[in-house]
Amino acid sequence: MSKTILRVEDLSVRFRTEEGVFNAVDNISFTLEEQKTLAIVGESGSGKSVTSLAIMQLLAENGHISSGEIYVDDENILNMSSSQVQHNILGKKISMIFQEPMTALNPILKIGDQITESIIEHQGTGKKEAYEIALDTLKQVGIPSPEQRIKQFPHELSGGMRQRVMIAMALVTRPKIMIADEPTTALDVTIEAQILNLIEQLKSTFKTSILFVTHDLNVVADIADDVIVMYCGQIIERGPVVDIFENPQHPYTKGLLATMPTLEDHKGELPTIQGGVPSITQRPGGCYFHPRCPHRMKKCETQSPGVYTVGQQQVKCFLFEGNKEERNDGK
Amino acid sequence: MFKKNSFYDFAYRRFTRNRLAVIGFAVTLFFVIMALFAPLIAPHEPSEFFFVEGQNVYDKYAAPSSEHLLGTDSLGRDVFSRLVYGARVTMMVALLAVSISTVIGTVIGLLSGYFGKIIDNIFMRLVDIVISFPVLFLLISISTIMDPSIWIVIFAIGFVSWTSTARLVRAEVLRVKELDYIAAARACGTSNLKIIVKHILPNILAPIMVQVTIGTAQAILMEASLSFLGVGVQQPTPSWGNMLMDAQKLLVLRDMPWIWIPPGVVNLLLVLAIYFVGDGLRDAFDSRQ
Amino acid sequence: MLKYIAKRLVMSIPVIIGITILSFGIMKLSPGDPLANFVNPSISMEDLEASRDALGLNDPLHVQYFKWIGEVVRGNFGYTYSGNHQISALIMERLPNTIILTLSAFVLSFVVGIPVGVIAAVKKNSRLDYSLTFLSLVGVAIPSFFFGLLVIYLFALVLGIFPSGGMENIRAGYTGFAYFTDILHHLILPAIVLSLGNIASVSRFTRSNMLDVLKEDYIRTARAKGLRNKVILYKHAFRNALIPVVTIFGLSIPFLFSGAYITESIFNWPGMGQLGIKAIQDREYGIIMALNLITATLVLLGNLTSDILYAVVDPRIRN
Repeated sequence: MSKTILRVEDLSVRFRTEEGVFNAVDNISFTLEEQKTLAIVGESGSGKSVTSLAIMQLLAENGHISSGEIYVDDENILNMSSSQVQHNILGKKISMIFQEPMTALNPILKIGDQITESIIEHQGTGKKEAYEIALDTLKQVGIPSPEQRIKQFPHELSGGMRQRVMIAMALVTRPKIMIADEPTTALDVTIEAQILNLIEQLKSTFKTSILFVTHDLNVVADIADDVIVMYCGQIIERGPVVDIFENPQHPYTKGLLATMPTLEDHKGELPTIQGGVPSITQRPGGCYFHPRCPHRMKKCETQSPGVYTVGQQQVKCFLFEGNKEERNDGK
Repeated sequence: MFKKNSFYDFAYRRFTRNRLAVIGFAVTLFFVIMALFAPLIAPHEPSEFFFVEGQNVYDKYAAPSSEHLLGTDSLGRDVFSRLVYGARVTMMVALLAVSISTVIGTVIGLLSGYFGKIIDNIFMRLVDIVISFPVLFLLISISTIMDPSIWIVIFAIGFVSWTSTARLVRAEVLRVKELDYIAAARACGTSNLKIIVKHILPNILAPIMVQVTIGTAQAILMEASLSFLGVGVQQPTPSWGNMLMDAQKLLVLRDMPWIWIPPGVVNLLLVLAIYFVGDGLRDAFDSRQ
Repeated sequence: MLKYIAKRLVMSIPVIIGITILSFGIMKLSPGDPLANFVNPSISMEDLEASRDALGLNDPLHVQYFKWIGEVVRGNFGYTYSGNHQISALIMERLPNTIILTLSAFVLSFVVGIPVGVIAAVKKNSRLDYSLTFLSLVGVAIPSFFFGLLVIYLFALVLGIFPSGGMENIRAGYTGFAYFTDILHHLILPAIVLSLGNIASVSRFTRSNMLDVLKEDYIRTARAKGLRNKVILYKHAFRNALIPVVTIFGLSIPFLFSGAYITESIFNWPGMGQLGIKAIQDREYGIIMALNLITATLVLLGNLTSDILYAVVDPRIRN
């Protein structure tokens, strides 16, 4: 059994808005094992990005973690001071790459400067040594003629190259966890495949675990070991990637998978799930999914379902009420 | 007051929650009332000369008293009454000048942004030319070649200060023009005039309102500066700028603060209040917050 | 980069032409006949016409314009109506004094304004931020002549620390270093008065830029890298926030020249503004026009410089 590297327990994130205070993430728990890839899947508004930002303590000003624990290497980072987190966790044990490689790099600093600064900060190496490490990492992420690129500014690179630079920047300090928040969404399909391959390959070279946040199920199938499906800030289904794809249980997961275009099946229109994700201010009572659910029952409108075990999966849905019940909060 | 949860409803709520903005609005309102009801508030006529009792000599430089709340000026006129009537002049000049500059700036900005190309190029070079002249230089030049009158001041300020509105409106049009429904309206062959008036203008009204507010404050300052330098509002009409002319004499500056401090302070207060309103409006309209 | 500069230069050609036409137009629109002021009633109409011809005042407008331009590029702005002084000489005498004053105010604006804006942004929503923001709004809102009078009243008349006006203590006849400190002593109050509005707008602009930059994705990246707050603020945020501030280098030049009119006249500073005020009183349109043209050209050069500077500090434009 592999070692748990990241453990999130009962995490809730609240946002203050003009219309009141809302839970963007509602009491979620999950673990990430060493050298595994865990994918968090959901539509926009599901709370998947907020979860990753909460782990990095990068929430927007109006958001805060209202309860829960986040263990990195069995240490609860929510008990640490912000400077401790800054110094010991961020960029050192956990790194993050973002969706928009165009805006996530500082436009007026050279690539080399942006990569070396984390090495200097976290490993205390000299400038020259840091430069060598940076150069080496750029080679590893497949950047051609890195000696030249390292002296360039972000705008001189293509989108795919920039994302490679982001990955190099994240991995250069050899973190145990890399959080990737929709890292390929802004890229072309061919570039996307290259970047996914690269991440997959680097995972074993750098012995990193990956928390992969995405809305794109195609990507999940390629890269993940385990999958969490989120809806309205809650985890509604989880399980190993094979089971989730072969045998989805929750009506929402089924719906999501049905909307995936496949190569074999060109006939007719793609099915869609009726309606859209309700906004954070207008969540329905009971099960958040019931207004869109083809199998809704009377009690779905008033009660929130528990979490039930189905084979390797756990599902938050009344359809499986006869099965063994997990803790009600989705753990 | 506004349709619930509309853009203006949110803006209204944000504005009323901003304490400085509300105070600014109240102070501005106070001066507007002062200007509207000047004849009821002022104890004397603004240009009435007072004489030393029993003598045929102007009662000039009189210190504040119950008769003259803020004393009298170098010609024996009641400073408080001139201050109250000065609010009228200041407001009228500023509001009319801003109306002129807003109309010019909006029209030029709309044309420039909407049609682009050569029209844009010509108008933007015109803006470059006008902003190359320090505003006061242009104003002074205009006020000297015409016979000074309050109307010249209004037109001069109006014709000099449209450039920032034009640039702002142009930038906003460029932003809005790309929105899908406007592109759609263009594709459907809706007439340009209709697109501009019905679709673009309502969308850029908020930043224009902010600009009008700030422009009013700036127009008040310009009028005051011109009048102080003697090329703006002319005696005997009182303005908060020309009431400070006397203070250029060392004697007045040193020994008769009642003549120059009150008009300076009310000027500062009004401009500050309007800026608070402007800042409040800008924050209220900024839906990103 | 060279292409960018070349493009900016080409764009400023029509602006220069426009500036000269506007200046010329203002002069031509001036009321009355410049000769009318000194007409000796005994002079005959023929003599008057002859001198008008001699002065080129009867030529068609465009001919007058080109003649005038021809003179102007050689630095000849003609002569004053009264006293026959050479206008360019009068201006050259005043120009350095105005430059001393505006340049000091310019430096002061940015040296004070930028740090104030940064501090307010970094301490956002603190009491310090509110006070600084309030003060800078007062700085923008106060009429400069009123502030000038207050400053003279307080520091010159009541406290007596600074002189109330002028540029030097002529009677003392200082030389060398003493002369320099004497001018500095006279310079401090007007420079503060002239720069106040500009300090206020620079700090407001810096603050809002800094706040915008702090919301950028790359700042989040920098935080995710676990960098120290200082590094995030000064290396990543401040440098980016400073780029747009460069653009108001150019914009503040016309603002300062405008201000110089008022400041110089309040402080009796012997510069171009004071000359301009006197020219207005004497209806010396030639001087007014020359001042317009010179300052407009200086402003244009200032804008050009700040645009080029922008390209220098922003690698996205530089390449």
